[in-house]
Amino acid sequence: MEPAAAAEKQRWVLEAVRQYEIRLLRFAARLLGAEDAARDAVQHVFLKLCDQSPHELRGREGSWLFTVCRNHIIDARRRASWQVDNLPHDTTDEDEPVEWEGREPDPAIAAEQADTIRRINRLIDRLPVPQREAIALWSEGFSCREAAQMTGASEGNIRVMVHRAFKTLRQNLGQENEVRS
Amino acid sequence: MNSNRKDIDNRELSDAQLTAYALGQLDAEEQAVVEAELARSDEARQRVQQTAALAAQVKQAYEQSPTPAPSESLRAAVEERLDAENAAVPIIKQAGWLRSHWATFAAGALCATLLIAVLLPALQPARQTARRQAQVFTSEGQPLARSHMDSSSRREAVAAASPTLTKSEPYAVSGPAPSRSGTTTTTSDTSRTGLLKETPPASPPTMFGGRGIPAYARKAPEVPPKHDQDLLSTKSKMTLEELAREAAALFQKDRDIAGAPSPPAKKASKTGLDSRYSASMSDNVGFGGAGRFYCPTQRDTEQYGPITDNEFRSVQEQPLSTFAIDVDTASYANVRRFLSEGRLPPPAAVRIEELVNYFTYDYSPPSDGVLVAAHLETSECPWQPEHRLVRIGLKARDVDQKHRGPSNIVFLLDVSGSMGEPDKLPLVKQAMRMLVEQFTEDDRVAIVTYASGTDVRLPSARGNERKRILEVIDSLEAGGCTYGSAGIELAYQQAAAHFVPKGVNRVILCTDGDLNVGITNDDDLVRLIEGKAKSGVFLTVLGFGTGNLKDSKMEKLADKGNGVYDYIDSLREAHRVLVEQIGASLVTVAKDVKIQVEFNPAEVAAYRLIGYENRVMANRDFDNDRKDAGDMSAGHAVTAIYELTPASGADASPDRPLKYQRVPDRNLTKQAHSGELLTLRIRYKEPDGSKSRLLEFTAKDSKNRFDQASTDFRFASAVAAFGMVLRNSPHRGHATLTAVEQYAAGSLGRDPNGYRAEFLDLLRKARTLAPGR
Repeated sequence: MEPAAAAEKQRWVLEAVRQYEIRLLRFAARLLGAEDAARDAVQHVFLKLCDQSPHELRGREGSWLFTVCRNHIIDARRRASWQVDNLPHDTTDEDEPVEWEGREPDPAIAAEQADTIRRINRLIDRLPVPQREAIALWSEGFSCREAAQMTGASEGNIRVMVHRAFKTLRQNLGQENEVRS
Repeated sequence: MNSNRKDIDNRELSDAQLTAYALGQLDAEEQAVVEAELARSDEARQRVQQTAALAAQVKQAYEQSPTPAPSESLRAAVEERLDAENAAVPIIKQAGWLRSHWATFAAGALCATLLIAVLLPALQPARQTARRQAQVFTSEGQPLARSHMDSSSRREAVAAASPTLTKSEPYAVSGPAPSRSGTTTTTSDTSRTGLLKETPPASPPTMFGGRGIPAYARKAPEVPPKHDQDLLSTKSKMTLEELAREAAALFQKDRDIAGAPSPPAKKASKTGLDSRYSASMSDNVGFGGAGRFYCPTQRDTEQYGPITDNEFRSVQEQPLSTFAIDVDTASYANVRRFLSEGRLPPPAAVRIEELVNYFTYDYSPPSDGVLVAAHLETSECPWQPEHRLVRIGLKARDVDQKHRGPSNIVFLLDVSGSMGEPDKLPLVKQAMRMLVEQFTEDDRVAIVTYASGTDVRLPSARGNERKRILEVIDSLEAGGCTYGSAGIELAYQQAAAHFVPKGVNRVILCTDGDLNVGITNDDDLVRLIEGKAKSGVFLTVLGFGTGNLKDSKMEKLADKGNGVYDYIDSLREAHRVLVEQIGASLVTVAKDVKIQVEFNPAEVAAYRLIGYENRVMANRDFDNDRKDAGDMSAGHAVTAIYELTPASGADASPDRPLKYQRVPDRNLTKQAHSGELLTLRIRYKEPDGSKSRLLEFTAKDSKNRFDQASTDFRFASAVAAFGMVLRNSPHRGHATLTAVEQYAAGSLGRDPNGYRAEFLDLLRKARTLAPGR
């Protein structure tokens, strides 16, 4: 291998691991709901990255990594004999949301705010997978257009998924608030 | 998510647009539309505010969702992968990872990598040696060379005297080429031609100890350890430039040694990936800018077995020449891919016999119970006019598609993530759809995939259940990781379960090179496939995509599985291989076809077999039915060309009179004065037979000039010359790319599908890439 290329490649892959591992894990966990599977998916993604040329991917590592991750997740789910063309829409057979060994909670976060966030996360975990995926990609900073490219769906479709997710969240948060108050 | 589309109405679309606006997702134009609406509607404004507020919370929630810790094993796996790629020198291993120590670690790892990377070119010759050795012998010392005759010694013996059938046939007459169809242009991906095209093999890390690239890793100790230690310790303070210079100097030194005429060095220089090639590349300005460092490493994960051109042999000393036929054509498609990408193929990727055999020639099929016909033709040698060429054209009996036996096909598909590229799985799917069209209700098709585990996606279905088959094909998607296990076993099980006696039983493996099919050891894999071939299930290997091609491995597998290896770079090629040649690729007509030529010393002083370097057999193995060889399928043609120096002409290797002995009297037989150049013997077995049949043909020199030779002859000669030029063969004589074009002039024949015309295009492409050749 070209000397500069080998070094560049290694630096590039390791930097990607540093930047994206956690984000990909969180994303994968969101969609898979299982830590082992999420870790498998993320490892797969980075091993695939080792096959790529830095020059070809530079500047779009993020979307590439998330796309490969997302594709792998779909595959993994299908392999778990979820006989669907795309991610399932109903939530009835969803696994319970995964409970990570969380990091120390930030003491600066007020109890109320922390509570809202927990509720939002719980609600997101109960969303149908396509919506969850759209929300997760958006939360990761991808635009609807990028998410569309990554998932192969149309941009309008992604928008609708995001919209439905927000609608559901809004309604559920509202309901919960009402129940609480 | 597309399936949701039908539920989406306009109302929701406009609501979604509002949400998208709140999330800042709209372009200026749409934004203006929404803002106009917001100006009109309080409700909309309120909605946007709500959504924006919620969005902030959601984002915060996402960011603060319980986060898994970084994985230690991930880092190890990634490093192992990268190490394997650069495994020529020991690398500093870093176990696990500590996030807080990232910066320190990265700096260290980077230093080590830079050092190693800089050293690599210097170590190149050693790597080549390692590769060569690794390819010839495995860790068990079992020969694994492509000639594949050796390992068959394990086979059960059923040898017996074979019935002999003698037959003489005059020179063949050429006519129009048989028709073929299918036209699309070849895919080329010029964006992939950069230096950093480097892609490591996608084998799982656990396999790094035992296969594939570890050719380097295992042989690493061959690198003089002194260099590493010196450079890694005392020179570690040198600047990058200094190291690069140092490495370049070392490289130069090694190259000089390799080029010197000392016996071992000479041997080294004859390998396919040789110093001659890198030297010529370094002089070749504008060749991808690679300059001096252009080496096979540029596409290191594409692995090619080295090839040494066959030498001229004296007829007096070695009157017999024996080889196994080769019906593969993968090398041509691969060469085409290189040239389309604007690069010359590495010499080892050019297998001349596969170039020549890519084209169909109009040899008439055999008649009266014989399975193989032979057609001999001679003429002047265009690149060495005092030499003669003899072309041997074999043609297997054709099987009418309508009368072919039922097929029992199992597709074994690699659906790992790397197959997702457009020239891989999507092409596989298209190819399969085309093939499915050919099936009838007597045929059976099964689909087994491997990636994250293996999967029988389509249990053996009848050929007329087209809808079901196509549905499964359509549902195939790439994207796996864990690397399947038992994929090959599963595929063969499917094939065995629906075995059709008298029919075609074949596993078609489609992959981009990662043959991680559950058996981690090359030897075991080869043994398994060999064993399965005995059961009557044959293997076809179809290679797809670029950058990760394990050419030599795939070819070996196909050989061992009594099968065919093709490289598919375009839909057109897929069509050629799977549809046009469905009969040819699938119905084996003659098994273990071997050729032995006995040259007549009264007419021929020396001979050289062009190509077939990896197929040359020991003469004694010709009559040994335990030694297997290539298979011919229905209608398949095989062409081989010998270059001869006439007995009266200049000797290729003039013998100096011996000081102590006279060359014994020739003691020629009566037949030696018959004027015959040679006697051609062909052995083959029936597909399910174990005893070979022998055919015999003789040829006299036509005394034809090259321009009097048949169209097919001239074209095949031109293709062979093209291969020699690309390989920079020492035997190329006057052949240049320009000359080759002249040889091919007027030899296109009918060329109904433009394959021969495409060859001329490639020729011109090569000329622009290597104007001097």
